[in-house]
Amino acid sequence: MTVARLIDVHKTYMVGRVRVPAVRGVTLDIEHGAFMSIAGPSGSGKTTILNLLGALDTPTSGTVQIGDGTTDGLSLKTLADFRNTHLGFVFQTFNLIPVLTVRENVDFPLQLQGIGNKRERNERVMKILQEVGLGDLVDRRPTELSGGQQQRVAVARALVKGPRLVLADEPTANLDSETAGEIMALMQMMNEKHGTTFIFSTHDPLVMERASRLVRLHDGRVASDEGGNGGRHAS
Amino acid sequence: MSRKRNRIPLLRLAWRNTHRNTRRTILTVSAIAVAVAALTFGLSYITGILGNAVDTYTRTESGHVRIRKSGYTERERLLPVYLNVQDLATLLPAIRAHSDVKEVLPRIRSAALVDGAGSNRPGLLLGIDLAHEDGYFNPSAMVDEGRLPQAGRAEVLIGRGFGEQIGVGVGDSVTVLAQTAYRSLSGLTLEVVGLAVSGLAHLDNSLLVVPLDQAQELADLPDAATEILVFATDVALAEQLAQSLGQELNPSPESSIEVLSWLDQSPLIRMLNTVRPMLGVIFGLLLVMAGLIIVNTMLMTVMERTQEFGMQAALGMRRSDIVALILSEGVVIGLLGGLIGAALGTTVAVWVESVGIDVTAAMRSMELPFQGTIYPDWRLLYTVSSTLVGIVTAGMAAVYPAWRAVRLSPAEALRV
Amino acid sequence: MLAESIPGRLRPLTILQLGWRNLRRNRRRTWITATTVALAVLLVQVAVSLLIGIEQQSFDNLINYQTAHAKLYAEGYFANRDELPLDYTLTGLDELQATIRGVRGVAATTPRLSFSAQVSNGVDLYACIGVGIQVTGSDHDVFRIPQAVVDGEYLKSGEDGLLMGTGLAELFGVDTGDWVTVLTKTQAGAYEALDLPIVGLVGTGNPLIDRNSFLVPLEIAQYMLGLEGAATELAIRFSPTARDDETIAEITRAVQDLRQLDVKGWREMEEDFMALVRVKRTGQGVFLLIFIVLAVVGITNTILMASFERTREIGMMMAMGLRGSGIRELFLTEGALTGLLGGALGSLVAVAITAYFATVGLDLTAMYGDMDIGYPVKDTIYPAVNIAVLVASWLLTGVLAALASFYPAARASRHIPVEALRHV
Ligand SMILES: Nc1ncnc2c1ncn2[C@@H]1O[C@H](COP(=O)(O)OP(=O)(O)O)[C@@H](O)[C@H]1O
Ligand SMILES: [Mg+2]
Repeated sequence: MTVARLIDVHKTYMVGRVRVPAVRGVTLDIEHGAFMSIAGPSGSGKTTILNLLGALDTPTSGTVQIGDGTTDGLSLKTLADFRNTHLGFVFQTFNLIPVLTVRENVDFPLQLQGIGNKRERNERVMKILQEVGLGDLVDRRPTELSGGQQQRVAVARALVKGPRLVLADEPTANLDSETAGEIMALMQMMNEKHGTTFIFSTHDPLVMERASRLVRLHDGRVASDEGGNGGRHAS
Repeated sequence: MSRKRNRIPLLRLAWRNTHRNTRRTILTVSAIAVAVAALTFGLSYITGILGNAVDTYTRTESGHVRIRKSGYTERERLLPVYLNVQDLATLLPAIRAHSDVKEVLPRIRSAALVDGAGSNRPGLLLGIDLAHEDGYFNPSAMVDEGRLPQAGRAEVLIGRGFGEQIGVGVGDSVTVLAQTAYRSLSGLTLEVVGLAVSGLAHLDNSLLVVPLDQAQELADLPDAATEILVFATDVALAEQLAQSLGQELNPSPESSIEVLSWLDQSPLIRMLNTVRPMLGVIFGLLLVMAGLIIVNTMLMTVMERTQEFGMQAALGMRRSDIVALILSEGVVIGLLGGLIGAALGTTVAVWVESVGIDVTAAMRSMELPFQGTIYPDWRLLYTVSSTLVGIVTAGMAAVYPAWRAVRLSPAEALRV
Repeated sequence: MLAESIPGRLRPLTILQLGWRNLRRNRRRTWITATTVALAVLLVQVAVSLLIGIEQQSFDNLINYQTAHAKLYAEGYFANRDELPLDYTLTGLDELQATIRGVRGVAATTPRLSFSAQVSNGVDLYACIGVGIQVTGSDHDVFRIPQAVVDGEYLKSGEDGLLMGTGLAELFGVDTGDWVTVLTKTQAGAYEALDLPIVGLVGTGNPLIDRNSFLVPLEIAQYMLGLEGAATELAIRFSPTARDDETIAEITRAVQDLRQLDVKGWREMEEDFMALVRVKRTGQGVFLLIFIVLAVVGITNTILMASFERTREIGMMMAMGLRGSGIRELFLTEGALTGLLGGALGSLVAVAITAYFATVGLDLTAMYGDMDIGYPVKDTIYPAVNIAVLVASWLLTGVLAALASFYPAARASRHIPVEALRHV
């Protein structure tokens, strides 16, 4: 079963009058349950592809399908609602809301989903925080946490609403290799346990190793696409 | 070993820096602009009001210095003609001989009961030296219909409103009944030769202007007047003139003449003088507010550039240079805001000065020597000083951010 | 599935919480901005409560001592009232009063007879306004003269005597117990003089009364003027709950088929004074507006800076599905809270200042000396602290601050998430 699909997608940015082609004709099928890595040097188009898959951006040409629909011609508001319902994000710089506690940060997407029942939300928040190993730190602020802990919160925040797809743009780039390994292990565990599809970009070979599928980009094109040895294999 | 200092083009650099975030700069600049505009207009406006009141008051009431019989001030409202100044023939030339004196004008004020076409009303009879009052009481400017009375003739110029009340116009005659210097009553029939509109409500509804000689005859005051108004060459000399005239005319404490400068005569002037410090407080508050807005913005720009400053310090730029740079940025903001505000404030002040603000309706209920239209009195000095104050405020507001910027050592700054 | 409707918004409580915590994020900036707001609020509050205090006291003064709530005149009198004519008088006063008292909203009525007179202490002669008042029964039901007697006592019915304005007494150098001569002209044109003792002095704060008027029993005035049974006006006090314009309309209706009569409300009688009040309000309003503009600029600036700083955070929230409107709400709330904070601060100080003057009073004599400052008030005014107005204006500060944040908030809400996330 396919979660998302790119069909001959092009994305060209205009910088002043200069056309910067970031993605040039990428076709990709992403199966449900994949633990997929998009690798490539800086500027190869990784972030652009993740943004397209994350309904944060729309292609210049080609089609982006997520679930049964395409993002073609959708308004910003509809795209926002769509991300709200189906997608989770993990960022390189963690991007937690600094004024909210760990618990509140993870609660944030649930609120956005319009779940009014506080007890239900709290149960889900606590459950996921236990799973990522932060059950004791729920009332801390992000600034009181290490980078690895912050990224765990981010993973919990991405997963708490049970999304179809979690997009992680270089999630380990700001972490030391040991912590990076821990975060990858955590995401891998979540992938296996819940069957959530993960797509992450990286240029760290240690991270790529864990992927169930490894797509290499070069200059906005797919250079190679192969099965990996980690993760839960696609169904 | 002397290190040669490179000249840093501070202002140019500061100017560039204000372009980093145009919107933010525009807002910050507008804070100073509002304050400077308010300052420019406010100064012009207040000067206009004070000028109007002082000018009207000195011309129609107090002179720069007023000489009267002792005790007159307390009984002023009764207009006591029995309290008068004698021997004008020697007094007036003596005063005129003073170097700072520009004009000396004897006047007689008297309460009169005026009989017109069948009805009588109390009025204010003013006997003046018509030949010399132009530019002072300025009766010729008040003539709305007819002409001025002539010295030696039994003629009168009356307020238009007053004429309507007693039902007389040009060509009619009125009989006035007034007290003499010896407290008896005396009467005089005068021909109305003109109707006056002064713009001062309290005058228009009661005024009768007659030649000084007619008033002297009516009040039985030959060679005397109830008051002598002295005008100095400059109003600023009034106080000094009052003092020296006082000593001259009134050598002993028991002497019976009081000499008062305009400043000492009117509670109105006292009130207007309380306006200045109050305005000072208000403008101070405005500047503080504008300054705080600049502090806020500059703190942010400085924080944003902590690393940049660290780098510059590492490269050998001195702390004093960084401080100077940030202060210059404040000054540039002040300069921009000051110029815009000055342009705005000046435009408004000059425009309002050309059209005037009509407050006649409001003034009807007040017995103030105040013309019914307010004209701000703009002066270049106000624009220039407001702009400077704006620039200084902005420069001062940059001090704290500048201190924050150089507080960290280069190493610390680079680590942020 | 794209059509599913999901709120995509935050709960109001969360928005408040976020706004509040974001204010604490950069406390120095918050305090600086709040201070600018506080300064503006302080100035506006103090100025307004002082002005309202003065105005209210002036209005009360006019009503209590001069105009009552309304007056009934014979037709023709009002247009010539400055001359105090005796040609347009009211008669049949008892019947007239009975009619007026029957009107809903009328609490009391009393006849008065105003006339021009010369008063003399034997040395000086001064033109002033005499007022005949009905001592027994009614004048003190409409006016508050007894409370304004500062020396001696109130008039007694049937006894000769007059109450003199304090300023007038000072001018003549006379006191309670002294005798003065009152000179008038009867309606027929004959001169009439009467010696009367001063039984008391009235100080109302109203220059027209204090400096230019004296009061005598109605019968004496009628006798002097040869106008037995007549009055120049019938003064009317309304009950506290009555609405002025409605009551005036009712009175007009009640008297319209009686005779040719004019009903005038106090505002109409004091048109000139109301014009002065309006001009002062406008002038002061302009000045206060400048402060408000600066406070608005301060808030706009701060919220703009906050939105710049948090560009990436905005991108992240949007990536998670928060709509632009949600972002806008966050910043509007932050602005409103800043305004409320500053407003509270400013109001607090303003209340302290106002409360201080409310207890000790603001001595105008000290500031302006003994002069007509254009308001008929006593030397000392007592500004009022009005909790409802205070709270309302505090909330208004919040609303204004939210409006001031509108531009930066709208800007922030238009971010494209991808771009915002790329922001460094
Ligand atoms: N919003 C944008 N505007 C202009 N150019 C962009 C934008 N986003 C990305 N690019 C350009 O597109 C190319 C691909 O960028 P990106 O997808 O971010 O690569 P990666 O994530 O692999 O480093 C780069 O050359 C980058 O400069
Ligand atoms: Mg000029």
